[in-house]
Amino acid sequence: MKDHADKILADISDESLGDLYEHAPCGYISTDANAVILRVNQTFLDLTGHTREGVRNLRLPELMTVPGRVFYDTHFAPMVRLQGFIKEAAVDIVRPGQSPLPTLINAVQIENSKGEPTHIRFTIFDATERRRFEQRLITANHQAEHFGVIIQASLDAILSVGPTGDIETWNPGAEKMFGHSSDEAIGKKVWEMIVFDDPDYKPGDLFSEVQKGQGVFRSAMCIGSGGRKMFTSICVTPHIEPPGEFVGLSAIFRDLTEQRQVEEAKHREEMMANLIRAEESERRRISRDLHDHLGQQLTAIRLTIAELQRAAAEFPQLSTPMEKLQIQTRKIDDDLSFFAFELRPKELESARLAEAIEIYVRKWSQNYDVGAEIHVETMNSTRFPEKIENNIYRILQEALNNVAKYASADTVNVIFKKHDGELILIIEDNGDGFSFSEPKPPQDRGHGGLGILGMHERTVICGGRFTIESQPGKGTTVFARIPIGDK
Amino acid sequence: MSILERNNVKIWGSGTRPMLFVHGFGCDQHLWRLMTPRFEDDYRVVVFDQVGAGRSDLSSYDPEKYSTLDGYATDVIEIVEELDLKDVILVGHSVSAMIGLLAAKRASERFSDLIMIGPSPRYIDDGDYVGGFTRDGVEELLQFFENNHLGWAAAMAPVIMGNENRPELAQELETSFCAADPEIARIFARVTFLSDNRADLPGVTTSTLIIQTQDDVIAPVPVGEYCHKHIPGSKYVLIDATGHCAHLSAPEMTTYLAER
Repeated sequence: MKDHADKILADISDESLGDLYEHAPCGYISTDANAVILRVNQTFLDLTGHTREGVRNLRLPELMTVPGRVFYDTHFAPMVRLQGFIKEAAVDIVRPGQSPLPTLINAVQIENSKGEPTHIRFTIFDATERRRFEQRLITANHQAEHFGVIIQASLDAILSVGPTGDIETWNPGAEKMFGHSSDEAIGKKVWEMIVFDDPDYKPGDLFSEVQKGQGVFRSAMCIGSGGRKMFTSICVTPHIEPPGEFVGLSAIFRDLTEQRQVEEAKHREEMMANLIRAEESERRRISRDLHDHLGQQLTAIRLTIAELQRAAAEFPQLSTPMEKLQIQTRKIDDDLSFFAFELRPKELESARLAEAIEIYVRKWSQNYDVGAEIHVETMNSTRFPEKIENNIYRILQEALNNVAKYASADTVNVIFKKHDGELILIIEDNGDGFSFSEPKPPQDRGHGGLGILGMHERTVICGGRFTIESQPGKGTTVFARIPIGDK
Repeated sequence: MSILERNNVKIWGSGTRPMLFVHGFGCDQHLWRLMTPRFEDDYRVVVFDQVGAGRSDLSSYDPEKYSTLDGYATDVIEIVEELDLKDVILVGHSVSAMIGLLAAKRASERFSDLIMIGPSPRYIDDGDYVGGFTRDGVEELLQFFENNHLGWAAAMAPVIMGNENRPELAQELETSFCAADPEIARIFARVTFLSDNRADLPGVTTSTLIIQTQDDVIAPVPVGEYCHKHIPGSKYVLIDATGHCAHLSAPEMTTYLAER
């Protein structure tokens, strides 16, 4: 064994120093004190593709890329000059016909006996792989910074917890949501900082679940800062290292309280829209039945009565009751027609909305014996989407019904016009009015329709705004404004 | 933190007339180590570290203030006022030639002479103006400094981080040259290479010497000539040396000062 080593050593000793210099595993360059190249080894030439003649009498920085040259002049040269050496300076060396070579360069300055620099020795290492790795590291760093910014800016509570439940990171979202600063929270047990409003499920239980390696995605009521109850979604990811060791977790809490309220409101709105649709179709059916069946039968009855009247002409004692019967039946027929009309006016199907409104107000005025002023703008032959026409018409009916039943008014003023891309319907009465401070305005009690709420919902369904103004003794004004997207 | 501590100001020398040396991008007050011995017998030598470089106080770094060269000029004026220096000869290297110029304009009563070594009012070419770099070239340069954090950190180790809390590091730092906080150096590179001070040249009233080297990649000869042309009454010396090194200029400075 020893013989073998001795033999190799003997071989190496034979190796000439010149060969060692030329083919060392790194580039070597010697320059004068001003970095003018005096000597260069073969390894450097192989690494860079330069020729010995090509680099002779050049300054080393002239072989660097422009940024490398600037770095050389601003950092490299002063440091070599002032401290006598530099280590691991990262610069790129230009190569003929190839992309620049990333290198790391060490340099030492050699001084004469008077302390004056005479020359500089450089070693040049190929740093391609290292630079690539650094580049990945820099990219990863940038990414981490970006994620850091996102976590810092997030309204969600984002935290990480160690294997025994100690909080390790706690973002501003968590500070705000749970009311503990990161200084307070970090190092505490997660179940001390986060409290659930649920006797059967505690953060400790959640932690035990995750500890088994289970990711958890669920919702829970949490107690937030100031005791506020929050409906939160929770997403917890366990961190598992081979061979399956639990080393911690990250958790995101999102406060969905507001979102849930919005969803509930939206749900209510949808329910109301369905209700209105159901009401509409039910009215249509009843109207048809009244008109087609009862109406026809009533007509038959009235014909029969007329026949009877003629037949009973010889019996004077029957004349008065017959007359009464005829009048009563006609009244029933009229009422029936009005109810059927009210439920589902034919006008809305055949006429334009403005006309239908006018016809309805006149009939209503006649029926209830309340004076009506009608200011309806004729809008040529314009028809609007069925939804809008139906709902405006129903709002008018509802409002007039309220006037008839509760207001004891003697006149109403109905205005219908197009203005600034909106259809505007105003129903104004001079009746009793009401106070909003009462627990519930009388109009809201409903009377077969859906009351104020119904008018409001119908306006909202059409994307419009509904307002109502009233004071006791000062009458009531109802405004509905519905956009039609056509200015 | 006093101004003198903030900028790690050092003062010595047997003379009375102050000579204030301002280092540029890439180094610290050590830059002047080889030059100051030639002046310390006749002048009062003042050197300091720009905030972010050398042993300056890193906690004083204000990104807003140091986003322009004016912020650095403010520091120069503050040092001069703190020491109540008068008749100051300001020696500025590289970007600090411009920082010195801005300081001399703002507090001209304090400065008698401005010695600019390798100055450049604008590094990027602009129409007829030759700055030495194309816009892309400067972007590439800044990218290099941006991506070269790790390479830098090694070359300029030790990086000083929160040294005020670790006084035991002071001894080690004493032996380090041109140390810089990489993040601050990265921003200083941007401020340096993207600034444009051409409009500041004509208003200089301080007596000015411009020292230019033959082969300076950072501030080439046409830039030095441009400064000379636009700074009223300035003297201009072209020396037969290569690179951007400051210490080579000492003989020209001596001659100039002897003739004043």
